[in-house]
Amino acid sequence: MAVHSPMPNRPRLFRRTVFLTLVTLTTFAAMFMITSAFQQNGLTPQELVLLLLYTLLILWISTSFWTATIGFLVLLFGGDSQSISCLPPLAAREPDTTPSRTAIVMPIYNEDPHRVFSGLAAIWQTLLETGRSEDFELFILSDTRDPETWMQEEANWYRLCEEFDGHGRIFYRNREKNVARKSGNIEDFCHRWGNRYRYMIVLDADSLMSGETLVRMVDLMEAHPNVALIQSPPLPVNQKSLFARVLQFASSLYSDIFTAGSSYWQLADSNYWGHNAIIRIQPFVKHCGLPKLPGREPFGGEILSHDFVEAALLREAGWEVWLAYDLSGSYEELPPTLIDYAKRDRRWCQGNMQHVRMVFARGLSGISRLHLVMGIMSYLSSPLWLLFLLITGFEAYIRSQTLPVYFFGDNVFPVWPESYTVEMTTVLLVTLAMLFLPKLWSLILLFTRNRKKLQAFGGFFRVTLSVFFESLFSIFTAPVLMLYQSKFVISILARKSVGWPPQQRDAHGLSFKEAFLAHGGQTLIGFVAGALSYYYVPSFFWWFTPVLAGLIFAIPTSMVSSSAGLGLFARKLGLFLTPEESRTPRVIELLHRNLERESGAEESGYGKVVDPAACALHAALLPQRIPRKRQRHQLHALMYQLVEDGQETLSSAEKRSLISDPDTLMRLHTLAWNRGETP
Amino acid sequence: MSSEPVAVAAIVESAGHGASEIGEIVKSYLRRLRFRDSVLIDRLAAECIERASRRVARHDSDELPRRAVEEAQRRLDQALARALGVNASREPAIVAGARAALLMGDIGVSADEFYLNSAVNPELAARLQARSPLAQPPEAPVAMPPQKLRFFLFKSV
Repeated sequence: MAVHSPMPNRPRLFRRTVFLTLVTLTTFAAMFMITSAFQQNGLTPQELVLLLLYTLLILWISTSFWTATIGFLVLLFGGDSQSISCLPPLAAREPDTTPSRTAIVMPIYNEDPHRVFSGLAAIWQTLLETGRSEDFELFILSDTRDPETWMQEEANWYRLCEEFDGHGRIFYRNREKNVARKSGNIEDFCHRWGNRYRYMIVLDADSLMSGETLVRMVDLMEAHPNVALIQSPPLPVNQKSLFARVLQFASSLYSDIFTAGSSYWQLADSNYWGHNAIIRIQPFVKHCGLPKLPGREPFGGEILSHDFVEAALLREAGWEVWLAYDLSGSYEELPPTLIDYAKRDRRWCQGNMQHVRMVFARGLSGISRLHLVMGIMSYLSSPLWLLFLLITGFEAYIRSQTLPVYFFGDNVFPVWPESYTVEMTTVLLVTLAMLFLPKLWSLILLFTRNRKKLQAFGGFFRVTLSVFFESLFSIFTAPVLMLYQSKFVISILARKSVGWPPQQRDAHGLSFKEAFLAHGGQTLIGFVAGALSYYYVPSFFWWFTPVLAGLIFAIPTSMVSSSAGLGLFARKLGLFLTPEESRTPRVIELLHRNLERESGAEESGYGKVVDPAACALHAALLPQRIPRKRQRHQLHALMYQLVEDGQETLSSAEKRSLISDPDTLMRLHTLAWNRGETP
Repeated sequence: MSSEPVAVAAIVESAGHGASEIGEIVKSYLRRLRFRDSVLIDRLAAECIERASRRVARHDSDELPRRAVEEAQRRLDQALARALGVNASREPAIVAGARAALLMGDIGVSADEFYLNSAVNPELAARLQARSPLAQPPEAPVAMPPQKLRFFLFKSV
């Protein structure tokens, strides 16, 4: 079905013109300032490179700044009348013949089953409370490889069905081969059950969405048949460690203006963030089958950050993609430590850098390319900043080595060396203002627009203090992340691919060893750079101290901020409070209640295999096929290896193959029971 | 184990396990399979060990209790298959599903009732079927062809 967007072109054109003009003018103004400082003696090659780097960086910063500022104004004046939530319903040109059913799909991969199913139970419970649950089905799309986790997932799935009488409405599937990772997992679902549903709501393993939000998203899709995807803005919740609580606070307080601003200028050409979004299945299956890119990883192979590409393909097919900035009840979790955050960044970095090729895809519109470039720049900006600092330091060194000449020829009046201080300080202040003003906008908005929300953030004094500490914390961690991301970008450019490691989501304090191994190099760089600049360019050293401090104190910062005790203590003091902590929404409350229940995980040596119930369930879910003779012998060999040498001698894949065959599974089960491994 | 034949006891002893030890393994397994009547459990355990002993070699210390446990499971499967009106060896997934429903689900019936019931029981079958695991709905497939992407400067797909 060819679709033409009902969104009139005028507001789209006007808003983008305003936005791009502001960004361009800011960039030109900053370029003018820095050029006027440089050009007093003509441009040296270093200055030319600095100018180029600064232009790229200021363009990036001003994009973010003006998005936030526009968002601030939108929210200050009561919201956007052109947002998807405010647009009037549109009659469909032709009736939608697909079943009016929505699948809530959660792709998981070696996640903690207790957390996953506690979250799903909370989501399903709130959905039941809306009275609209009959239009929904829940699908757990497991790509889990670990055999023990696999069986635990099945047991938890069955318990979930029992708890909500959800047999026939809550489903579980474990893929035999996890081809193309998460996007392949979703694609497999669409292939097999795509015609059963009109919409799918994609969740991440740590996603939480309230039933009301799910219903609202479906209603919005029903009212706007030209919309293929609506992204809800997920807020981080449930954090305990200091690091994650600071990030959670920052996201909770500042993200509103960014999402409102993005929605303002992107309108029906918004982006997809991979989860907490509703997707119309028909256009998705028609336009979003992702090919494998030619060449090897990291630039070739499977498309890792599939979400941006899928959104681009939908937009190019004429479908609308919206960011519903005013949709609440959508949550996610954060990595608990700085190191875990960096690990997640490593994966995302590779996915975004792969988009370098996608930027050059034929037929993409300007805004699709812009989305891709913005994703790339969120990682590429780090090595650019690093390069900028290095060249600035080098330039300062060259200047410090140049002896000033006061008298030329017969001139009796001295010619004083020209100072850049005023111009460069202005440039620095403007840059810092653009980085920190959005925080101020958010505070102003909180103080002026929403008294109730202000109380939920801890009140005037506490929220101001929290913003101050958060800013200090971000100054300390920014250089560490800059070095990490630079390293990631360089290793990706050197064609070093990253695997698909499962994420560490639980709060866990970092030991000195862990922190030292992760940040030792950065600390050393901090000391060396500090010593060099202090010795050779003392005037530069003092400008450089915020960056140096971040690097030198990377180990203690990382260790201290990983502490859940400190995070909870800060919460007791009312610091970094979020509205979700002050007045816990129902879905989060239910999650906490579910998490307090017994996990049901087995601790015996044979794990779930010894449990007759788990084994029966697993056998019932296995595909019934007779293994070939050779496979049977291989399974026997593995079985003997297990009995004679112990299960620790088998790899996870070998254990998985043992429990993937019903006969071998039952043999393993009776063997385990016989050995007294009773649960 | 008083009802156990002498020959079986001899095999059990020679296999290295105490007769009562094997009996306890099998009984605890039967209890885990939701058998409740202790007289029935004792009888079943003895029968399972007796049947298993015919299938194992002497001095195979591990195999006898394993086989006995296997036999206990086989008997429950037969009973469940009977209640459902299916063939246990031809429909192992359905029987495994029924076993899972009995062991994990809230069907309010013990294994004894299935075991002692010698005919198809529509009421028990319905209860089992309602709680049998249905992991995936019927497929409703749709094609999702990979898109053709063409690039400036890069190789296209």
